[in-house]
Amino acid sequence: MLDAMFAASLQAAPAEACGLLGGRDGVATSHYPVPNVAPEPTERFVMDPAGQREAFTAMERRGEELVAIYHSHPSTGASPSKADLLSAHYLDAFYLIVGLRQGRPYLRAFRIHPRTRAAVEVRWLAVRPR
Amino acid sequence: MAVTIRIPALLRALVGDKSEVSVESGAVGEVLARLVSEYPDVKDRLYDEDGNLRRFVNVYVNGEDIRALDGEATQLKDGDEVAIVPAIAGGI
Ligand SMILES: [Zn+2]
Repeated sequence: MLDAMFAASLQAAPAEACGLLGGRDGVATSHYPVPNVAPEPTERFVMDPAGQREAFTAMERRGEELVAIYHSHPSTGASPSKADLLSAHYLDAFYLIVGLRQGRPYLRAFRIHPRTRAAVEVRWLAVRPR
Repeated sequence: MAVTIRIPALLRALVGDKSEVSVESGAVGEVLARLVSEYPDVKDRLYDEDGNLRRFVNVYVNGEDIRALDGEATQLKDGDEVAIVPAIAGGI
């Protein structure tokens, strides 16, 4: 799944990639890439409404919950931006950011505090293949 | 004559932790206005300063995006279900 997120991020660059991970008990087991429909996709991401909806429907059908939301930062490093923190709505989910360092992808994971909007890095993450 | 509005997780705290709110039927815009008059805290989340639905707020009627219907003028029938789904988005 990590490979799938990395592949999607590399493929989308220089635009941002985005998607969802579904699973149970905080363990992600399914990857749902969602098209980025932002008008300026190298600077921000907006999930395609239909794609986002399909992903949530598929999760429901499989008895999964939303475990994580990811997007890529093709050129700015894998730290959440101010806009990322302010527009984060699904705060039960992990926020994952794929950074590309000289074309090599890496991942950082965060929780966003619902009130202060502060990001706390999560150092340990269970990502298991289906 | 009533329709059900499904409330997304992030707005539930603003409507007394309900996942659904029932309001009198009408056009989508009227129904959302009723939701806002009952729960004023929701207003800023749904509308921008000019009173337009925010770009990242998707509204569905029985599973259909209202942009594919008549937008906020879409007429609802008794028992219809309106779902508010914020698009997941972020800056750089
Ligand atoms: Zn970002």
